[in-house]
Amino acid sequence: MAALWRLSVLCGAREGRAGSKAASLHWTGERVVSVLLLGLIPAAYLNPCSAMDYSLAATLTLHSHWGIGQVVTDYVHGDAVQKAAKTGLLVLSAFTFAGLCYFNYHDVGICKAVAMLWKL
Amino acid sequence: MAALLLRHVGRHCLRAHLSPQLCIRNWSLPMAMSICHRGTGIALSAGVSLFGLSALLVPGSFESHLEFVKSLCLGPALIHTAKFALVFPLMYHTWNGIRHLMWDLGKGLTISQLHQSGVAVLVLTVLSSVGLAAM
Repeated sequence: MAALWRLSVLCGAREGRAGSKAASLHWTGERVVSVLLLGLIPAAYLNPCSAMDYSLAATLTLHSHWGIGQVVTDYVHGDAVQKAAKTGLLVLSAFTFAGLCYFNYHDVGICKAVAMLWKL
Repeated sequence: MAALLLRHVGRHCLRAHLSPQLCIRNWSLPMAMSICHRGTGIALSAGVSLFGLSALLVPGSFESHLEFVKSLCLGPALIHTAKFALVFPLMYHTWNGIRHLMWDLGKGLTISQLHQSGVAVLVLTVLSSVGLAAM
């Protein structure tokens, strides 16, 4: 816990000179969502319900959106190409989230779907 | 033993005309595990996107799709293998993800700890994948 605080202070100090905390907050946000998702998986197993379905859909799409975002940043070079790739990724993530919510609303939902698939 | 295997892989990539950075360096366990973390992440994201998009675009309920798969009479061995193939990348990414979060807390960053935690992740992955596929 103390290590995390020290890390965020360090990032804050660096950003103070640049005048923007965006990158630091993004980094912290990524870790928070990762931990959230980590907790949601056993929670969904132990207590499957509609709220869990939607939480899982949101956390899963956000984690994967930010993860693929890092891959794009690493391997796609050039301003215009990277912007296009990031836009494409945003569209994909938006549709994925929409699709998962549609599934949760109109079909059995993520938790039940996994249970049904595993009973196969 | 694992180091020798990875070094062998690195040397063979020369023949495959791959990037020189992949050939010059001796492959190490942390390096291989890092790219696998990225690879499993991409694969899992693709799977989730495919699932979400097919919910929007493919007609028919989830139950009807499962009924179709059941009608193929694939046999328990194939079904078990498919479950293992689904759960293995998820387990690897999850356990290695915890390892990453530990590093973010500043823990376990020495080289020997890196190798120990790496092996632990691999063992946990295999065990949990086998366990979950058997459920």
